[in-house]
Amino acid sequence: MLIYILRRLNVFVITLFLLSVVAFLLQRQVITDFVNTGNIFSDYQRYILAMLSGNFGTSLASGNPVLSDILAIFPATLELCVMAFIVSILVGIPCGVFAGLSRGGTVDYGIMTVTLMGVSVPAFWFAMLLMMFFSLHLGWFPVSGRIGLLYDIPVITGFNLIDTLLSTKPYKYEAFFDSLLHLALPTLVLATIPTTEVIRQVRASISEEMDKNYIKAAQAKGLNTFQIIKRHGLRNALPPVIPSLGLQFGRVLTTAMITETVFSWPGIGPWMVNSIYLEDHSAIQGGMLFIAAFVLLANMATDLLHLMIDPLKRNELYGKS
Amino acid sequence: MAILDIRNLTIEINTSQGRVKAVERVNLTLTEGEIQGLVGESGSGKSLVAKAILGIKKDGWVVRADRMRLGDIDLLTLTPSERRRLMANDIAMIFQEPSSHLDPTQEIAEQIEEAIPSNTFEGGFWQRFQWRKKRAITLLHKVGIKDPISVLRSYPHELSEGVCQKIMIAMAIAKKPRLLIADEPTTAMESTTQIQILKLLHKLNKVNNTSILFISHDIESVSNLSDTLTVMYCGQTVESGTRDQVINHPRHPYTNALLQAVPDFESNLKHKSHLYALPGSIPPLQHLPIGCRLGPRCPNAQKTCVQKPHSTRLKGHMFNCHFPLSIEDEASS
Repeated sequence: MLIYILRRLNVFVITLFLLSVVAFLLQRQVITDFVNTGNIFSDYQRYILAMLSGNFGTSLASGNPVLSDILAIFPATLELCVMAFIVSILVGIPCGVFAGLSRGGTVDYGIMTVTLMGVSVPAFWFAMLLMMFFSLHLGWFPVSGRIGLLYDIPVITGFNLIDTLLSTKPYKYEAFFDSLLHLALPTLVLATIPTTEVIRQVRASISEEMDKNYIKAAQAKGLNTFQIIKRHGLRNALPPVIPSLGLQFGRVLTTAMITETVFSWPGIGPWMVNSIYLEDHSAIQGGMLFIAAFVLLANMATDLLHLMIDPLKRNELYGKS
Repeated sequence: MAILDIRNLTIEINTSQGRVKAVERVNLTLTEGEIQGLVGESGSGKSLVAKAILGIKKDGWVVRADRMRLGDIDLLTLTPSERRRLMANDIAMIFQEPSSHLDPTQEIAEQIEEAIPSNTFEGGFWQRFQWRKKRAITLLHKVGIKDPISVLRSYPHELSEGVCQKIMIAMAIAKKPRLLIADEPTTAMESTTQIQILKLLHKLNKVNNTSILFISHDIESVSNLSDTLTVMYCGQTVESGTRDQVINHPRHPYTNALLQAVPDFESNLKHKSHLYALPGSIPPLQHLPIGCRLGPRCPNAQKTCVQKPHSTRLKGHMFNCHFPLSIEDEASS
């Protein structure tokens, strides 16, 4: 187990190293005021030492250190992504199970058709449609932003849902509800991609597991279908889906940038786009490294989670299968 | 009274080559408290019959029968959920390939405890807390597992096939069923434990009056244990009767061949002499011969064998053959 973690960490470090080399070379090409001694190795050494000490440079646009800018903005994006993943799990697992159990049936076709539509719809277009219908036409949800202008919530964690509850303001529950309303549409847009992925994976996984012999044995024990799915089906079908959720994280972050821009969500998406317009190279570079590191970390975390809850996967570590 | 009564059970399987009759018109009768052996080569449809009794179907199976009764319950009219409830109480099965019939991600302890029905609980309410665990340990002891505590804490992939098989047996006997279907229960075991398990099944039969349908490919081991025997070949019943009838006076050439194929080491077997075996091999399901399915391999086959033989009944001894063995000899003597 420990060796496996070390091995994963090793991959993590090497990937980060390669990324930093790319970022460094880009910077060397573009920025002329970078103290250029002519020796690429000593330059890289200074660069990586600065990075490791958390010094991502100073943003040309805001004048603040890049890292502090990112840390101030990133929780908004993370909040959106986490909500999207929660929704995709809550919707995706039941839909996947129903589709998998009625494979080839009407329910299956219905769910798979909707899933296919979800995969093929472009996020920005879907976002605008939702905005036009629910915000402008029906007026149920706010058009943009994270929270109404009326509420003044001090930043503690950066997550609005938590901050509103932690604050001591008299209107904290109204503020919480308001930020939930603001979250609804962006979450819906962002959740489509991971949800379709979860549905497809769970469907394939569960219909495969339900054909296995131990399900027959469970039937012979006299358990009913619900008990079999609960005690044996899901238990075996869900763990293999976890790592693919981690892989989805990168895609979700990319989509989040588009979604945030459409909904004027003050996250890392508009910030990055803005930095690109302003040719704020140190911000672009820092943001890139930060997002890449975060995606890698999320991947590693899901792999470890899979390892912890799936005994069969643990067994593979010892070279058995 | 017959606890299990099956008439003309036919199982058809949809394959890419079309629908094949994997089991054709099988009859099976088990009286209460009887051990019946079901013998046949692998691929002869023994396990299919067992699964049909339990009502476990895969997609593309068509199971039909004229009659299928368990005691006084008609299995054909039950809904799947009623059937499950019935199975939970009355029927238990020991499966072949035990390790694949255990949930790979669940510890053995949970799986055994799941198989212990709560109505077998005896004792005061204060004992209920630890009761299932204790019962699981006793069950594992019964089937001859030496360190039950560590086995209970293992996952199936950490155990050998033999141990998994013992666990399957423990789960099957946990609910004290009326009918136990044992599908090759001793294949993956060393011979000393095989005998232990056979003794255990025998004891279960005598003490709890459990009827056992003992499925095996080995006519010798089955014949020691069972009261009656049914021999199957290629999805058809070829012969059934009491042990004495089938073993000592086989009427069907296939039964005879099975018995001859058991090498008798007590008589002086000549050095390098040929062991007896039927020519050819069991045909694949897509190329089944018409009529008597043994036809192409049968030493006594004649032209009429392309018709399916009628079953003949002689003092409870049933056989399906146009030219049964030693009928004339006994009639003349």
